[in-house]
Amino acid sequence: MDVEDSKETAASTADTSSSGVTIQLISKEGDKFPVPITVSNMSELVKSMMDDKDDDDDDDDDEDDDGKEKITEIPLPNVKSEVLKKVIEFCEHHLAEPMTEIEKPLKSQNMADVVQKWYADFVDLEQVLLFELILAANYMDIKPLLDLTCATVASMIKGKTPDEIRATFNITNDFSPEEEAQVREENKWCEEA
Amino acid sequence: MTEQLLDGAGMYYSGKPILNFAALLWLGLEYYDYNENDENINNENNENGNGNGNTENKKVESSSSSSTSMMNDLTPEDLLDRVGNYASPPEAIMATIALFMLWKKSKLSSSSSSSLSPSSFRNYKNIGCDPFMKGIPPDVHVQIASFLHPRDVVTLSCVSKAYHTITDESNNTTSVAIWKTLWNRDYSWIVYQWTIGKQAFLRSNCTQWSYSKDFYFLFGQSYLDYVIAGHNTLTNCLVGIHSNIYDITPFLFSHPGSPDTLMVHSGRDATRFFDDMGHSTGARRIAMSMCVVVDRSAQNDNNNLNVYKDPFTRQWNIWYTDTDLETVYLPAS
Repeated sequence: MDVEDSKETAASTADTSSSGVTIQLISKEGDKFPVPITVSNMSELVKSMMDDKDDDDDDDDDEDDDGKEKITEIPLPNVKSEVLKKVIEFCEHHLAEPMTEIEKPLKSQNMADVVQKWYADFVDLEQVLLFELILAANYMDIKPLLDLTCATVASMIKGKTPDEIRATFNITNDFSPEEEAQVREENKWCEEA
Repeated sequence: MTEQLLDGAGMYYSGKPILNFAALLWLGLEYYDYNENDENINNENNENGNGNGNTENKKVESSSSSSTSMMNDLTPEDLLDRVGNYASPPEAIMATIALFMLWKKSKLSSSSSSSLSPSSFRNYKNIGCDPFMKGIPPDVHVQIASFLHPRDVVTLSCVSKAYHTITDESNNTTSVAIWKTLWNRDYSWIVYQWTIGKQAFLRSNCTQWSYSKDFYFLFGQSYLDYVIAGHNTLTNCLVGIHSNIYDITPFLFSHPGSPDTLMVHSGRDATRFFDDMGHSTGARRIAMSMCVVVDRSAQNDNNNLNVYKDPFTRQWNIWYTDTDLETVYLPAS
């Protein structure tokens, strides 16, 4: 946090225009994450909340301007600190090195083949965190992050048999034997592939 | 004009000049509407967030009233519940904005850390997202599927009942959206960018299929007809064989049969005629030299099998293209 803070002040002294404004994102646990507005604006949710705030700001200007720097706090009660940290990490890196568009359908099961190395390493996570990232990206409306995480899940499915998919995601097979026979009959070619 | 189009489409004219526009509307426009509606709801919500909560949409109204006029009546816990509803992002956004405004107000009016201090967030119920499909909203399912080969999506339908519902049921909106997305991804350019192909497509039987999954595979089976429709003149003669495209313009007058034989079958998929004539290996080699587009997705690298459902027998069939650019059909069972 300290490192980020100093980065913030450096940024805001260098540039007092809108890009120097700092936003405090507040996680579910109540931890505060200060980020430059350029980073937080990657989230359409935060962006729309900021626009919304600017509109009814007129009455509050006096109070806000009392503070030396303009810091806005945005609560994200659906996003855990651990996840929010990853989201911010992604957004910051995306500004420095934008992610290449991921080709559809995926060419490879290996994420390193379809996207830059940093992003492939970024999504090399345990599943629980990956799915929380998907939910956070969907909730905060960050398209590149949603693309990246969804592509990662897709890469775990690509080219696998139903049994392998069940094993990957720990899914129980709830077909009755007759139903399963019927579904298999309909999709016989799956197994031969 | 119509005459030209009919000529252009080669043999594909099925004798039914009545164009089935409804099918195209269903195909393209409804899909885009699906997106636009989402955006509209978002926009409306944004407007409401700015204070003017007048809208005729009931659902939106309920969420807008929660954020504006009724905002003061709602407890923070109510709002938190709304925020937690991942299944409808616009509503969640609205609730978050309302929560934010409420919080700001409480901060401005009194310095005491009121009911909405960060600690109250800690009580919020945990989000169950362990299993792949539970707790993940449908639009994310579509997004994930949009990265997959159609074969993988069909494989998913064999995994469990829930998966089967999501990927393989004609009355499930997610399943329909997934297959429409795949069609848009893989084939829509043919219909939208190539006018003659579009005309040929509109005359075809494909348009009568209502469920998007059947449609996807049926279209994939015959898309060559639409891609090269119109390319059947003496100076520009393309023909589709074994899902690859051949430019036979320089060969027209060398063909042992008359150029007319070729012309009749060009501008469309002529696999059946090519195979039925029993071409020799030498002839096939000559044909290979004229191949201009190889459909890689049809080749059997990575066990990349293609499937289609025969519209007449309702059977699934498998085919792939071998290294000699031949189509190999596998028996259905």
